[in-house]
Amino acid sequence: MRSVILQAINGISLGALLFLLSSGFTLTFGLMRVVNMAYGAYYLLGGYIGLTIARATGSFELAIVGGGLAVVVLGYGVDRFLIRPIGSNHLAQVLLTVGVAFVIGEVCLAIWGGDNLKIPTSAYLRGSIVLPGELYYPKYRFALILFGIFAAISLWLLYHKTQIGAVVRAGVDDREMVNATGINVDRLFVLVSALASFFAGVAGVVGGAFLTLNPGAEWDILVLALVVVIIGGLGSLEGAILGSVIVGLLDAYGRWLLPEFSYFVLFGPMAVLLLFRVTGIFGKEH
Amino acid sequence: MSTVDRRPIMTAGLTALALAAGIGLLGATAAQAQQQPPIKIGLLPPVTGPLASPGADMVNGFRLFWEQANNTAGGRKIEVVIGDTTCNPDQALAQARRLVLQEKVNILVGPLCGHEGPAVAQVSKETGVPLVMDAAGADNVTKWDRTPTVVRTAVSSSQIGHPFGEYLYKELGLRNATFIGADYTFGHEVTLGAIKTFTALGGKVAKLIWNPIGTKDYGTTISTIPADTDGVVAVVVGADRIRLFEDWYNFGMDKKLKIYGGYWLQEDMLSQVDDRAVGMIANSLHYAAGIDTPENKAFVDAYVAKYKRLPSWFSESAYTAALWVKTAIDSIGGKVEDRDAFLKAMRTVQVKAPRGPLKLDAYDNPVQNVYISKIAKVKHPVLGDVLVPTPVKTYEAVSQFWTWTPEEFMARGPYKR
Repeated sequence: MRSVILQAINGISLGALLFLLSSGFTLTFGLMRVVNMAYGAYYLLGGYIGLTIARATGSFELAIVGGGLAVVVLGYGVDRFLIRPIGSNHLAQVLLTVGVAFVIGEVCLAIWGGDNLKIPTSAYLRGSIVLPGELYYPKYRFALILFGIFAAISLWLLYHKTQIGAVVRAGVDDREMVNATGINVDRLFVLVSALASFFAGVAGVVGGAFLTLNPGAEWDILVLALVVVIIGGLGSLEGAILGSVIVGLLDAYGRWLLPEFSYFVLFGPMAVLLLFRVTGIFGKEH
Repeated sequence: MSTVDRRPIMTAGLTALALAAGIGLLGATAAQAQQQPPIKIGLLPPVTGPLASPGADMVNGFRLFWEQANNTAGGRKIEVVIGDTTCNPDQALAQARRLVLQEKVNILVGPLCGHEGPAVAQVSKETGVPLVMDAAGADNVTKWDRTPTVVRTAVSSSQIGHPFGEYLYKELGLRNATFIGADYTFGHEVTLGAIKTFTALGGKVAKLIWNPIGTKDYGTTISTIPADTDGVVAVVVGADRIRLFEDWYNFGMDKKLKIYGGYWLQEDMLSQVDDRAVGMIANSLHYAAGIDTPENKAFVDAYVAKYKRLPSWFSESAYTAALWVKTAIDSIGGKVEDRDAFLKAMRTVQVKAPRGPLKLDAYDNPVQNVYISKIAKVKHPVLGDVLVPTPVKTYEAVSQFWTWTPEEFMARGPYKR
């Protein structure tokens, strides 16, 4: 019973991190049909910049904001000057953005080196909480879960309860019609893309504080984020929320109950789901 | 279809080739008469990719040695050419071929990643260019799948596991241990090597947990450790090393159990952990930066002065590979073109490396000390306060076959999960 609870918290905390990364990925795809494989690299770069800020200022909060904002600038440049000129060819987008990811990865290696680096957190986030029954659990992971819930609720409210959200949803359903009503979808895209990049950078900082940053981390995390959006459904915010929790829990319970098959536990259900529901749980035909 | 007669062109081509070859030969003898051409050594580290950091240590160690040796051996200049393997066997194969066929290196040194080893050995087998195998540890290379042109100067994976099993039982008094092992060849060979000697003495394995490399979350692993175990042994690599360390404390395990590193807290990651690591058993390895010998002190001082960080076993290993190669070249007067003579020299010379005295056994693997090290906090004149793995017990002249005869070991077959 203890392990069941412990693994549930483990899974949900990993899910919270995955949500931060996959929400941006799924929304930009929903709105602009852009497949951007560089989100893993955004995560890594955001993390490294956060690390430098945290070391210089000693503030973890500043690192989160700074890491996020730095990636916004980069993400804008990639969207505006690289992705837009090649149009709506998905294959070209994938190849291009994978290339971008390699370049970012190598630049990070040149600047920060190949060691495993851990972002220092604030003092109040260190150590562990003792739950009833002598159960120790890291404070940081609880904070991460709260942060993930907060981010999910904010995004959900923005998406469903504000005018901007309404326009974005309309854009997801029928871009031409929204354009015809006089709304500039391209400008809207800049906003959504900035938000998505910000979340990816933030994910890098909060993830780097407990998973550490190292060359290759961008691909490890991207694979998990892709499983999230495939299970949840490309373009769906609810899908990203549910998918993150499912992947987090599958990962935790899989490695507890079937450690030998931990990767199968993750990818097996995804394959089965795709057989019966190609669009994922919440996805629509595009 | 073209109907042009190709014969004149071919004849012309062949003549040109023959001329070129002739001139080449003349050129070579003329140059030799004046001064011998440099010896080219191809180094195969992962300069980019997930193991870029150990790769940099390897390059640094290698370069440091040749700098100290004035880039000469056997009266000839030494030229080092680097091929980036990216820790990928395909790439290692392509780079090894490039170094041999295009750069025309006389000797190959490397690779670092275990699974690249057989790929590079293959190139050595095809071309006959001697390969001095560095950190790549696969047991196979010096046991069941040997290549006449390959010698190893670093370590065989299970060689560092065997002494640790004995140490766990005899010195730490463990009887019912839990092992956390990295789930790939190197992890299997080190972990199962330690389990072999531990259980031979009567120790029991409470649980053996295989973790894939790049495991995000050690919380899961930690919460499956059985309550009745009397100690935990970690064989983890890469980024997992820090994750395990942090999670161990975050989940309050330090209050319940002791954890010992079979392969865990190394020089390159110690700046990322804090004083909690002081006093922990860090590694059972053939090197630790804290070895107290004049050879190692000189090496560490020179390394720190140049690179502003402690050498890891990857640094030392490449440094020693270079030392070994130079000793062999010196002993044959620089005639590396005689590959058999060079290999024979590699197999017979003895070297005094930073990590201790070394010589090859009959299966081309070094017989060497294995050090059980503990983390100590040291005030370093250049680096300030640093954590250094420092030997607490030395197993001297450990063979890759431990106490078994080679025949017994070979008959038993490789360690496999």
